[in-house]
Amino acid sequence: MAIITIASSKGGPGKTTLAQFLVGSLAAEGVNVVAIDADPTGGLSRWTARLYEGPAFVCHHEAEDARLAHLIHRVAQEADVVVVDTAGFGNRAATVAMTAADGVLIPMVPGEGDVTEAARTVELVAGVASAARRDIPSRVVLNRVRASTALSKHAASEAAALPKLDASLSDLVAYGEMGFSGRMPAGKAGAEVATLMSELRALGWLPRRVVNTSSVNTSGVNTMDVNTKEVVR
Amino acid sequence: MKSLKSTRAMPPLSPGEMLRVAGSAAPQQPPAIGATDSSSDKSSMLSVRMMETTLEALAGFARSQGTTQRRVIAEALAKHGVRVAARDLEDRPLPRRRGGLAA
Repeated sequence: MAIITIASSKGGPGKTTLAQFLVGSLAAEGVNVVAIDADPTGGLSRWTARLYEGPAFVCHHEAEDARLAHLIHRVAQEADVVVVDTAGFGNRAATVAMTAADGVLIPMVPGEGDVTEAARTVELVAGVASAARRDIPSRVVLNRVRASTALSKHAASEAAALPKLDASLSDLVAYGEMGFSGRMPAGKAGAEVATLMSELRALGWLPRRVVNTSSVNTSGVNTMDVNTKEVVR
Repeated sequence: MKSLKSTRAMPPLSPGEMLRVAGSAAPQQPPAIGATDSSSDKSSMLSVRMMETTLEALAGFARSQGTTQRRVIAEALAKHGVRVAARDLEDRPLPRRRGGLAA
């Protein structure tokens, strides 16, 4: 069981996008993944219910901190991976989700405010880890990167002291399209997602790839027999 | 020996621990949802007839956990996915007539 919390004290860096392709990709691999939408705006849960087209996964919507704590505790005992998407401002539900996390992903787009808030979120995770007396690693994920621009290079250098994933996400329309199509990105975006997932596996934040002996129905219903899959850690 | 780390998976924190840690690490943070969501919620009584042995066991368990019977019931319901109001999951101080401290 692994709990990944996606957090940032700033709105708009791509938390829900990151959550969408994480849960969608894990579900496509046959991993027993549960999503928790702890953002009161309900972007992830709405996308899951109305638009998402891949193999089914359970998505809960709960932004009240006490109920969220009980929900995380309950689903963590049943799922291989729990992904928690949080609201884009400092709030109790996000902090509760950090306390439970095995890893916190902090998306960051190039911008002065984004670098500042990413650093604050890293500090908050460290404070939570200290209060909980457990190791809660965090990693900044550079998002909407235009590699050739001075802005992206400068933002990356400004965030150089922060713990970062090597993988980053480019400024590609495919991520935005996922929000409307409900389908996982393909092409260059799909390759970036795969690279990011590989890095999370190397960090031990995600279980290794599922050895799957059955086919996965992509029509929206996961018909896989749980007895025919094996999660290799 | 202090630098050696266990490779066993860490047990998940209890919901109470999560709330305690979050409260101590960032005590000033606002709730994600506004108070308006629960402003129309009012407390009401639930009277349930149960066997004395069950009630004694409930009282004993609450005492051993240092909490109230009400919270034990609320947490059990929340654990089963019942949408319990946040206020029912909080420990409230005992009333003065039962040995609690004045606010």
